Amino acid sequence: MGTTNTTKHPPRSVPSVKLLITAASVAATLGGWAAFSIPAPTNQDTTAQPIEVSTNLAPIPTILPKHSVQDGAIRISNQPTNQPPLILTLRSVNPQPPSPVTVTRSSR
Amino acid sequence: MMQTISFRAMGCQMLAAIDSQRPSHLAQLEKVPSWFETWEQRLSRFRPDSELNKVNRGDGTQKISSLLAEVLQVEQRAHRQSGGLITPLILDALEDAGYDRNFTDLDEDRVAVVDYPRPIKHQQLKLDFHRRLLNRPVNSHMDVGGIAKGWAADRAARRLGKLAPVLIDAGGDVTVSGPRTDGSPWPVGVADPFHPDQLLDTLLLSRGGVATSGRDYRRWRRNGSWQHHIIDPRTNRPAQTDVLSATVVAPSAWMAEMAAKTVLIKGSLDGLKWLEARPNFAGMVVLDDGTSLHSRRWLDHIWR
Repeated sequence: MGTTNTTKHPPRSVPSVKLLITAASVAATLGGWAAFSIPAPTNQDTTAQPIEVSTNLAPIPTILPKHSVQDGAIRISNQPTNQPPLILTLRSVNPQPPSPVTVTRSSR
Repeated sequence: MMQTISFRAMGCQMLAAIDSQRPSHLAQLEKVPSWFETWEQRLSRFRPDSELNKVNRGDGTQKISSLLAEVLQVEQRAHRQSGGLITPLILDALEDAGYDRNFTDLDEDRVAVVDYPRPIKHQQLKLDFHRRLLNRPVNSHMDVGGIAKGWAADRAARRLGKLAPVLIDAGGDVTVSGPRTDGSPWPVGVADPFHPDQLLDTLLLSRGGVATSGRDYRRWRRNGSWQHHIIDPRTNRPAQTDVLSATVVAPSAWMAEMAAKTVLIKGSLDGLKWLEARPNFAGMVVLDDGTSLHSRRWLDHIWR
């Protein structure tokens, strides 16, 4: 019977660093909305102080299902309630209209 | 592969297209101009010997052809559906406004002959369709121009459409017999009344028709003020309206013609409300200041 030797390596990163990476990814994805600061590790920092991540994110807009709004429109729900909702009309981008067989105009 | 034929009839440019390559279908396509010539000979107010003019010269109850009876029956339906805004009894008002000859022969500046428009008495127009009897009000005369063009487009599409998918354009009144051979719709442009060589939209028609009514082309001056050919029977004068042109998609070309004229006479606000209340219709209007407005269902018909 052989024996199985396993070597347990110490964790290469601490959970708080993973949290930092995840938060940074989210913030980077949201582009210019995120303003966050991460204290840079220093050689003198030998104590196990928790890394603090602070974010200042704008509210994330919620896109409602299309059937709840008028055709071709998306309503953004995080508008202040005392203002009319912002309606964005989407038109699919096709390269060129088909060439018309004829044209309707006032009779001539 | 599509085959087309272009020709002039009823004072307008016409086009017939058939989505087929068969020689026998081309032979039928080439007959379409003669169909329009036959109809024009019956229905034109600019041909002294047309049946319409003979009836306009006659008095009392007159026997008419089945073709004229069919067109006048369509006129009666247009009168009802438009709430009384469409009537064939506009000839006197047209002539009072100065439109008394073929448009191409019309001087730009006319001199008034009649100062007071004669009243239109549509309720006194009696048609017995089955017996082909017509009784016209005394001193009221008929012009079937616009509705007749739509009717002719529908009639030609029905006849030619038995062979293959077709599109008929009768001076801007367009109708299709159904989708094209490959199942795709027929693209039909909507001309910009300010820039006739440019399009405002491209419609995709699989059935029914479309027509445009406007005062951007058939207009002239009478005693120095602009006149046009769309008569409002409530005033017996050219319609006073903020709509420069109206385009309507409808189940047929004559219905589209009726609806486009109705919207133009009613004006943009009432006209678009009238369209919204009719699920089979969709339309757009262009105003004098260049603004374009459309009904909600218009978006269902255009390329985008």
